[in-house]
Amino acid sequence: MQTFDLEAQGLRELNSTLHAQVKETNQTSWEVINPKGSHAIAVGLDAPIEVNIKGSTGYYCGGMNKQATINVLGSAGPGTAENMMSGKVVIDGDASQYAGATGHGGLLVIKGNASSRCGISMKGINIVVHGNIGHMSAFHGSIWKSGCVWRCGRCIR
Amino acid sequence: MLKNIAYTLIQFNRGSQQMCGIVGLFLKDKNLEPELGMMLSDMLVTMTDRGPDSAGIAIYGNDEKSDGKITIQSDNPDENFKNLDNEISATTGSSVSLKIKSTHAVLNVETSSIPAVRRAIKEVRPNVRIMSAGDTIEIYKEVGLPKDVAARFDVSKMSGTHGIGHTRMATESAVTTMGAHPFSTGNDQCLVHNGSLSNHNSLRRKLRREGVHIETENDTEVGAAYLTYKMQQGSTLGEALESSLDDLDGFFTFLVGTKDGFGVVRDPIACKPAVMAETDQYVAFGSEYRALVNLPGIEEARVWEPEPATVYFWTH
Repeated sequence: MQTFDLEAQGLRELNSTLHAQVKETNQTSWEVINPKGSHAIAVGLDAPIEVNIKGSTGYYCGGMNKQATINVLGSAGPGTAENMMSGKVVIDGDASQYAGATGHGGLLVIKGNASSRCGISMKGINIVVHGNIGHMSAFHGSIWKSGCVWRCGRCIR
Repeated sequence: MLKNIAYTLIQFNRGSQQMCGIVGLFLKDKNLEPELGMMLSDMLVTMTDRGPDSAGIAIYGNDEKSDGKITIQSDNPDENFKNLDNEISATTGSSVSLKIKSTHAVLNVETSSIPAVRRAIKEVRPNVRIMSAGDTIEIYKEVGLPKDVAARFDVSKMSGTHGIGHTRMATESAVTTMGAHPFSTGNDQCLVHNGSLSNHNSLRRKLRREGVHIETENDTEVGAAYLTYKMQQGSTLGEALESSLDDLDGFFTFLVGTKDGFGVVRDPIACKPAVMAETDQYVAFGSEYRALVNLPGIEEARVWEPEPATVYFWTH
């Protein structure tokens, strides 16, 4: 397993290293430490790798993901897994606004609660929320007739 | 049509990534009070990329010897603050002492003489601006990067019971000292705001008709004046925040300070981001979790996103 210290090595270094992984990579397991709410962690990945982020993330974690499995061992900020194409993003804690917005495919699992606009304008992504979801969740999603939001809690307003 | 609305909502969300940062810290543990300024300035500087235009803080001091205080500001402090304490003493007949901090100064006065001292300031130094008045509040705000503003006023050395801060990316009015947050419209009261109010002009007219003094054309000051007005009419901080949900229109996440209280409210759509954390030692607020990551015990804190149209407040 490769360990990456985000605080010491920086976001650009992390994302370019992960972007450099290809379909046949042997380095399939990655651990990111000290995320400290940073923005855009593991965005735009396109390889069958697993990334475990040990802590909470900021805006846009896992955005535009293809193929990769991204686990956030904490809570996630706004725009998590936005426009995901395929693969899987799992949030152990809560997710802020518009998680999975405009997603085309893949699976987003939020084990805690999701905030407002979860799955807004979704186009094929599947979203499972163990807790509650906020207002305007999946708004506009039905127009596209694809993708599901499954929730175990209540929808707030 | 629906597609356009969804797109617009996503764009609002995008906009909300920027446009101002708010931080706040309400201490429950007295042992942390000497570190309030240090923790608050670290939180403020972390929010620089949300608001690099100007920054400000309101800090509620814990000096038990202090009576009342008025924070003032001048673009020409050397000239305007010179001998000001003596001139105000001579005009009002009450004892006044002055402590200068860069473009700001704190006048220590007796609480009962605050109205007279305010009048005296207007009379002897019409160009000096009053930032705040009350028993414990001090407000410092200036144009510039948050780290420069914090260093200028030595915020990290300040101690206190609670404080709030703001980094501004201006949208509704000019980048000036007076357009920076926090705004104070009543003794020991202040407010910071992320968002934009759409009915501030009509509300300003209404409040002015009721005799409320509003200094600038800034939308946030109207929000602050509204809450002050409600509390003057007998509402508690919590009740005033509740009624703001009916009377204010637009986007807002407000963080409000009073002498012994600290409150948060978000509009019903709640586009503007907010994260809170609570431990046995403190309640903290940040526009983003990043602002909270260096607080003591944050790993074990209860961290949550305040619900839309829901009032939260704490008192000492």
